[in-house]
Amino acid sequence: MHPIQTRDLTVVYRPSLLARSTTGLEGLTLAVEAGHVFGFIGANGAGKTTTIKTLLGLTRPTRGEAFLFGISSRDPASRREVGFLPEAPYFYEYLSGRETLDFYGRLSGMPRDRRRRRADEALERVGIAGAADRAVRTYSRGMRQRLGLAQAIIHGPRLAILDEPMSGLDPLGRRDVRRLILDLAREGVTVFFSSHILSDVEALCDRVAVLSEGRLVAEGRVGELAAARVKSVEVRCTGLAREDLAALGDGVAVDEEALRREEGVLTFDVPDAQAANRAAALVIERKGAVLALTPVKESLEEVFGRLAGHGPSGARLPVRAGTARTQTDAPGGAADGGAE
Amino acid sequence: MTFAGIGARLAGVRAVAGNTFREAARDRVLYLVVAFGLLVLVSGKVIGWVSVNQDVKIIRDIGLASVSFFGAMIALFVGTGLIQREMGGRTIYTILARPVARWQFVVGKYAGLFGTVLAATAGMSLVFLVYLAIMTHLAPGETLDGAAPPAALGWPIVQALVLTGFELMLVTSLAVLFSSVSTPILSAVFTFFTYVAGQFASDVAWLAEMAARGAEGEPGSPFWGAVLGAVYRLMPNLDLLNVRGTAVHAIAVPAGQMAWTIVYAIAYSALVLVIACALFERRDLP
Repeated sequence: MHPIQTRDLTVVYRPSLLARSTTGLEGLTLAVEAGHVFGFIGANGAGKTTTIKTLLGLTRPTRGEAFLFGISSRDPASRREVGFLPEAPYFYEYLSGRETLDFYGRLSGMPRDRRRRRADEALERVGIAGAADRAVRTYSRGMRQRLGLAQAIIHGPRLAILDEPMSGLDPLGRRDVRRLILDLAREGVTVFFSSHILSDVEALCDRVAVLSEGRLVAEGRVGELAAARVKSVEVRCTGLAREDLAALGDGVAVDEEALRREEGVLTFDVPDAQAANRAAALVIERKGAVLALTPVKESLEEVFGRLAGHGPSGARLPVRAGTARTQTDAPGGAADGGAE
Repeated sequence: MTFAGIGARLAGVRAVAGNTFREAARDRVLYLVVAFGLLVLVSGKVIGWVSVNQDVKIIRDIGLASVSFFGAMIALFVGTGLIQREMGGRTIYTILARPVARWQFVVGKYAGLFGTVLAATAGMSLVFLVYLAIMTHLAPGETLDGAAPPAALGWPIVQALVLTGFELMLVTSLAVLFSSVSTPILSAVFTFFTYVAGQFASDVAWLAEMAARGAEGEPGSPFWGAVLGAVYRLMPNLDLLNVRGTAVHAIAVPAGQMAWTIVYAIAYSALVLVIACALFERRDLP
């Protein structure tokens, strides 16, 4: 049984009878396997939060259905084993952190003893045990985010739905949340999270889905998505001079930094495998040595940028086994300008 | 449904109700309204000075009216923003993302608010009764017909206060209904007008009868008679719950009438809550 499953999920908003309707989500069909860390990415207004709200029964689908552990999202029982962290969570300002967790524990039907024990554990786990008895109004944004995570896990859910869990956190906080997500996954909890920090998605997720304008434009393993397209080939060689590269045609770019770093070694990009073959032949002809030929694959960020802007509706990227992950770890989320 | 299932559903309602009570109890508006209510209640003595031998009667009159009016104002000022505040503050997301049905949320909000209104009016009633007892002891006065004044804490006064509690139960349900579908300002306006209109339910019934029958030779209008009759049947008959006028004169309401009045208040409140739950069930959260 899938922790999350949607069929043709469609949400059309019509604020009033006279207002024009807008489509928040269109025909989303998705299945999240148990135990996976599933990333959900898309630009602002792509439909990520609408999807999450529909999964949790906060928004009614216009068409289609969503299921949590096989139970329709319209049924509150579907949320029994779900923990949810909203984007920029809000809490009752007058409650302390411990009282807040006690309240959410009560809502989940936890007995008092278990609530107390689990509240202490959760506060410890997210790193705000020292502020447990302080009123939430005195918490910083990062502390509220941590408290949000604590309330999402206090009842020991089998599925954690996290909307922008790294939002408002400093680098240490982000590291802690990453660890928490990985720990949850190790414990067998399925984690479904949206994030605009693609390096986090790339580092944490088994699978990822990309939404654009309410439609699913790609879904697959992170490595498969990110490495599906070779955008160029990097050639590292000796025996060639910069002037020799003119023979290879257009689209050749020399890595100037590498040239300064390694005397006698030329590093340059060629647009495709054929150009790489020609470059290798040229090196051999000039009695040089090919030191490396490295395919340069798209990062998740580049995949996202391409798909979010122009991806075909519902298209799935080709799935290929054994592809390597690309290295992108842009601190602070390099796609801040375009992603939610 | 099993007992465990019922218990689980009640646990959600209890959690929301407890938190609502705690939230409302920290609302400064609550204390402002209660303080103002007590001030008006005590001011009965001042008005009593200008009425010959009517001190205690005036205190009774103003006291009972104050408990009702300021109790309704608490439901209005504290209650009408309750659900909207949860939506505006987005605290509702984390609540409804739990295995809590929307009706549990609405009923919990209602229970918490009614608990607050009840606690505040119980406090005001206590102050009123103590004050009335003291004033009766100090200046018993006499009635205009020379008869002995009624006992300060007689059964009619208790009846009036109990029925005021049920009146506030109904007003609170209206506040929650309007709060679940409208903005705080609009729901406050709706609640206030429904509360005021409800006090004149008997007059609406009389108007309906007059419109249908016609007055002093004028032909009646069956249409307006039917419209006003429908309005009378739909509007909350708070007049029915208002026995303060007779209680002041130490006239008790028959037990049967009181019981039916209480059943009416409970049934009307329950119906309003069912409507509030149904409307809130269909609402998309922003």
